[in-house]
Amino acid sequence: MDTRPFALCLSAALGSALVLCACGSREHDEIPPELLVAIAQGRTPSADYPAGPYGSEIGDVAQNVCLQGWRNPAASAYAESEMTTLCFSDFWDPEAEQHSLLLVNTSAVWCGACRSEFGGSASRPSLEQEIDARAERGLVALGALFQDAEFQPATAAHARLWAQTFEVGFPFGVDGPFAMGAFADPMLQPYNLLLDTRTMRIVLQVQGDEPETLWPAIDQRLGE
Amino acid sequence: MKRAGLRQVRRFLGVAGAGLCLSVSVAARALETPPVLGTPVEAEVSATSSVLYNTDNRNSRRSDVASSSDDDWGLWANRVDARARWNQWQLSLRMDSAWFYTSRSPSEVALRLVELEHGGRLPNGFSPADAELFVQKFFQAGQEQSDRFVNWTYPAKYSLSYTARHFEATLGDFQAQFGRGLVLSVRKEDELLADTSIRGAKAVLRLKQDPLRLRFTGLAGVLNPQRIDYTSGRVLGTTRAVRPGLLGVAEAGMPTAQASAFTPEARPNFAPDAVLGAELEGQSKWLALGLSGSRLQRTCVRENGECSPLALDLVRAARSIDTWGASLGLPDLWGHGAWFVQYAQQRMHDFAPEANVVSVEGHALYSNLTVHSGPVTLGLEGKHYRSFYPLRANIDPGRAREFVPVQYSAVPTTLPVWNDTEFEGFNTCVTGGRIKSDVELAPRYNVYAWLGRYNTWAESVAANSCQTEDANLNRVWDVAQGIAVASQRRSSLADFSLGARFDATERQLQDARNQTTDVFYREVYTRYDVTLALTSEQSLQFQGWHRRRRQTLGGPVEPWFQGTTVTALQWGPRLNLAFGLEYDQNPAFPDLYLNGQVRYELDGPERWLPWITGPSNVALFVGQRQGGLRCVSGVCRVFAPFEGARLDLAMSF
Repeated sequence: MDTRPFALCLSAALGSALVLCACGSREHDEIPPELLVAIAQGRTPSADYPAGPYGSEIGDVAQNVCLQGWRNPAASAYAESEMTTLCFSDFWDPEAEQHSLLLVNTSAVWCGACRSEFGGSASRPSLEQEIDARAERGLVALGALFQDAEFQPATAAHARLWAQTFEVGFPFGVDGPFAMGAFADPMLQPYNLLLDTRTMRIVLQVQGDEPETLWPAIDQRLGE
Repeated sequence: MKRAGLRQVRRFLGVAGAGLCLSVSVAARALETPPVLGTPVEAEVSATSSVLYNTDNRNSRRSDVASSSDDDWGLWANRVDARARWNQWQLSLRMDSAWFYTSRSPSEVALRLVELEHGGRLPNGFSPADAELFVQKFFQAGQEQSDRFVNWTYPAKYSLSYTARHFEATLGDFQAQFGRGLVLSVRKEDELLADTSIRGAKAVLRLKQDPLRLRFTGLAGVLNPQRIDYTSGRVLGTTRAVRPGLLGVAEAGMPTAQASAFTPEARPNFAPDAVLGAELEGQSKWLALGLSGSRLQRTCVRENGECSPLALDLVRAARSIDTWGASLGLPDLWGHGAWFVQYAQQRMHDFAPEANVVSVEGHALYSNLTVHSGPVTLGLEGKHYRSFYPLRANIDPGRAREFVPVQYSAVPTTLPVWNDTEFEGFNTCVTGGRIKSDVELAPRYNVYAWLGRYNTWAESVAANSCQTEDANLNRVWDVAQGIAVASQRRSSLADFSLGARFDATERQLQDARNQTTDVFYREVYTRYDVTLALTSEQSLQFQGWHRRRRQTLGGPVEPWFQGTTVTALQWGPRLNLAFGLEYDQNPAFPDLYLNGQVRYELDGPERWLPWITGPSNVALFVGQRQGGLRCVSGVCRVFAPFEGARLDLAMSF
């Protein structure tokens, strides 16, 4: 059977299909002027946080990330109405008077390893227990829940359920817009970011549930 | 709108140029030179070229930069493989190139995410929250794309080899596997689009003195995984900080990390590790013995007098990983089967100071027994692994997530190669095995069944811990039965199977509805592969895998159906048409994917393509393909969904 005509037709159809695909895509070339105005109006430098430039690598100063949450979830009875704005700047402590290291943890409802980390087990302390054990040596923590079970932005209700389930006692909130995306990959969770609260510089980043390396590394930093 | 117009023109030129170059590249010819010292030099060239365009692949999620960056991008990729042979020498070079003729800019990604916040359309006015979101996502997208959609042409593989009856030596890129892959396994895995090699030197010495055969393999070099992921556009790039000394020579011409407005200082997302290995095998008719060992030496990032790891997970933070093993085989059990057993030991040490770990020791025992008598064949595979980890590639997971599964060893699973339900660190701390029976009831009429039973302590707890306490235990049963039938000339074949997997934890888990359960994972499934011969040159094939799944941690709230079917028509020796359908009830993903594929073989004399002398084909894929986890023998990879068109052309001259 002579299939050459078919092959020629196939090539022609392919070329057309690819050109159409290439030309049919959406375009967003111009940033709407109204958005630029909104951006300009919204950028105000903060005196309560180290100045930039900011970055996402070890040694860089982390930008000031804010989220809605509780400073003490248990004391707030996990009530959504009790949520306030929590920012990295709340933990900035240039003289290390109250603490020296801030551990920022991100987690998602769909993430099984995050549940393991928060819940712990008979042979493994929970995140809360690990943090408590180092609190006197200067460790403070901030937790952020950013996605639900269907990978959609988490809400205050998700944060409440998560905090209640794991009886979270350290500062914890919801990061629906995923501001922590400046540092963390949403698909590699949990993520732990360690900041030196004297300078707000990044000291350590650990993707995934890696207690075997995370906690010895924090202990080492606390001992310095 | 000038830039929009320019981009359209660029896209058109890209596609047209790709087509033109596809035509030009076929001008190469097979070559045989006049004799050189009595022997002509034979040269052959093969080339593959792919043009693809990925439209909106329907995975965009609010606030998620990564899933919005992988829409509306296009690639023209080429791979040219040239080989020259002279006497016992062979010289080969493979050049890979990738040109991303279009992709979304950071501002496009950020605007798309603002749109998603407003139900898919930009609002008429913007609030301060919109402005904050835009700025935030603009910078995140800039970082995300700093090592994505970067054009490269580079020498992917090259080698010079000498082959004689008792000796073989290679300088350049080569693949290697010791035993069953516990100690070292560096090879190509087409289904996972993985192509890893070692760039260095390898020597193989073979001795034969009846009844004994000896084989010694020694190798040293730098690990060289494929640098560009064509499904996501991600590029693995190095900097001088991870190319000290001789590594710089091995990395010459390879992709490097680039600085950008968003990352003023180029940062590597990959560091080439060094490997040293040796294997000694001795075999007679009745007995086979093997000894093998490898050392993986991590390369760290050297900056300001410090040496930091790219990642702090246990396996990547270890600067040295020593793995050695011994195997014993009985290749012929009195004409009724064979037995193989391997023991391997692993020591991870010299950890990065940041990790603050001294050393980790682990071991693995693997055995495979096959017995057959008459129409019955029995197979028994067993494994006992404790803190035995795959040799993971030295990449930065946060900046090259698509390469996270790349590894330089392949620890046997004892399950079928397609199994994808060993979650987290399942295979690093496990004891269990599978027994499989196959009975030929009549000629070409077989029934088979298997039963697998495993205890793992690293699936529902931290991936790298191996504490064998009941609180960490998952008990797993894996069962299946099937039937395989063939026609007299084997032109028609049918294979049906039905299976199930029950994975339960010893402790109670809390699911997404906050209810407690001991179910970690459950599945029932059916698989089939049926080929019906219509005529001597035409056949119809049906393939499918339909699953009912339930996953407590990491899965949707409710159990869900998921499946895939492919219907293919082979029309004559050259033309193959296929239609695929995938569905998924998991609410996190689109529920339906449709695609069509046409493949035309160009083999044999073609009056209109006379220069093609070897196997060649052209294939067109149009439609949707679901992303997700795909595994081959326990090595898995997460693929991004694809929606669009793709043309592949492969030619040999």
